[in-house]
Amino acid sequence: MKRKSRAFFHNPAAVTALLLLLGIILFCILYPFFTSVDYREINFSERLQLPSPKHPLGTDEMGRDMMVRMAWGGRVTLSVAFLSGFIAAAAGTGIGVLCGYAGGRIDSVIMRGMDAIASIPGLLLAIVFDYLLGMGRGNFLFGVAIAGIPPFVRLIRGAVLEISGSAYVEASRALGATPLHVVRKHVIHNVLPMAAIQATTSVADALTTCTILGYIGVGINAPTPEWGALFDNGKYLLRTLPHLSVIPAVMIVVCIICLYLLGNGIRDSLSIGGGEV
Amino acid sequence: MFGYFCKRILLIIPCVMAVILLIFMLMAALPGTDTEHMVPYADDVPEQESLSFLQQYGKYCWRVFTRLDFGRNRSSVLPLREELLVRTRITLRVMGLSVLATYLLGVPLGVYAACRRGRWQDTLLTTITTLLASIPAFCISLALMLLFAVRLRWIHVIPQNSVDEAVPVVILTVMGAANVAKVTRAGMAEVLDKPFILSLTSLGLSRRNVILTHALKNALVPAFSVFSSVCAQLLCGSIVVEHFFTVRGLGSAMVAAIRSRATTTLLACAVVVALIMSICSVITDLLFVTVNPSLRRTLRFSSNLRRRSGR
Repeated sequence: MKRKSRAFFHNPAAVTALLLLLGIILFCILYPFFTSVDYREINFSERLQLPSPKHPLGTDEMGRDMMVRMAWGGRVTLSVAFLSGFIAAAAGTGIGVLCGYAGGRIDSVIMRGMDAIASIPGLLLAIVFDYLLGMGRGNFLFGVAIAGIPPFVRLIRGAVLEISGSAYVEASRALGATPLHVVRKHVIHNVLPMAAIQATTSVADALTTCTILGYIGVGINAPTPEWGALFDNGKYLLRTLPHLSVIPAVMIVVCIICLYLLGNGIRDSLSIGGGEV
Repeated sequence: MFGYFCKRILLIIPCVMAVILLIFMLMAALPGTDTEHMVPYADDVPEQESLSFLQQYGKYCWRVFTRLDFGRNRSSVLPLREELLVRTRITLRVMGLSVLATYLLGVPLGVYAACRRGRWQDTLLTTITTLLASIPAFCISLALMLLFAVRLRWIHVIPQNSVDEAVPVVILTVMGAANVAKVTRAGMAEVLDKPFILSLTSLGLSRRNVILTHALKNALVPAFSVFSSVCAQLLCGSIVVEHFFTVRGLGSAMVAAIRSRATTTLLACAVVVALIMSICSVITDLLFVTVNPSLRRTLRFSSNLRRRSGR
């Protein structure tokens, strides 16, 4: 494990991505504490300003400070993305281990269900959940999480099938290990790194869906900023003040690239370490 | 084979009915949805109120499948069918063109990357395709608009002529092609490692011949197996792109329906989307059999092509 983590920290791209991502998260959490400006504060005398010392990222069409709005938007967007990504990871890993280890009818029924979920576009699932569970309160999170489960289950199930067919698991079983023991000692250990890699993908997907929903005006309610919604706001001023839409878009893309590099870094460090996966 | 596809096409009906049932059940079970939303037909409300849940469901399905009748909104005079037909046609045109362009662009790119495996062309293409496949459509739209509409002024921000109307197709194609190129590259790289490629090369066939006539056939199998997920991706993407370019397609109908809480419209849109996705899945199977002749034999015994072949 030590060797693997050393391999990860010797990968410059992965470390940069990790630091950048942590930096963005810290900025979003801490910045609102260090400024006296409220993200809802409307000030028409200062509307549509370019970046200045008072407003580091300028102001929008209602004179609201963009920097604070970006930080608050980041809080909303990133927490929804990470939360739904982790729900998908936890549920997907659990179901995947169950499917792979139980096999038989349970496996085929659950996999049919997963096929059915996977055939519905994730965005639509999120929209329908949001609509039916009450709009504007971030309820689409559950839709996003559910849409993220099937790829997890497929990946983990495949890995579990491979591991539980290997010789040492058979030996352990022959020595009288119960299924629970095998899963806890051998299967989970081997599956967790793969789940971590897939989790970065699923958080990135959730981030995409969340910002798209905010962008088309379906996600979080209007006064609360959200990166996708901020982008939509700035879109109408594309010709005159492009920074209003470019900054949210760049933040979204940077986060997604970081998550992707992070996943790649974990994968590379594992193959260098010569692990089972 | 003919029989199999007849069965697949007939299976679309229960699939769509399951989607309708799911939405009906969610609407009935969840708190905060008043019974008014359960009534898809504003013209015969008194009659509807006496119907039970299953009767309402049956009536809705019957009307949809026999007359394509989706009812109408309380706020609108026109039946939904007319509006949906127009909007679906717009979305399908954009989606169909971009799916076609996606494959025409994605497959050659994937093959090229696989042939240059390990060199800088491959690294560059792999990085670009992975990024393009994962960033939201509106970020791509923004980048293209900033370049072509604001800086170069080749196109208008608000569509005005036929060139502007092609822009959504270009954006969707970029997204889809990235995905297809990724899958094709992986498939092609796998095929190029197979022993038969080595033996064909050692028989003296040119590299071009080996790749284009022998390897490509095998590499197309994974590329076409993602056909339905590419369709899903482009359908979702078209919702976003329609919003960006204010195209009046299915996606904007959906967004408008959500904003005004018009359940009838949303339900109808969901039915249309489910229908489109089911048809895409049938087309995927057809393409799959076309590129993989060995499946034709197993077809008679298999209920699910893609699962049988390990995808």
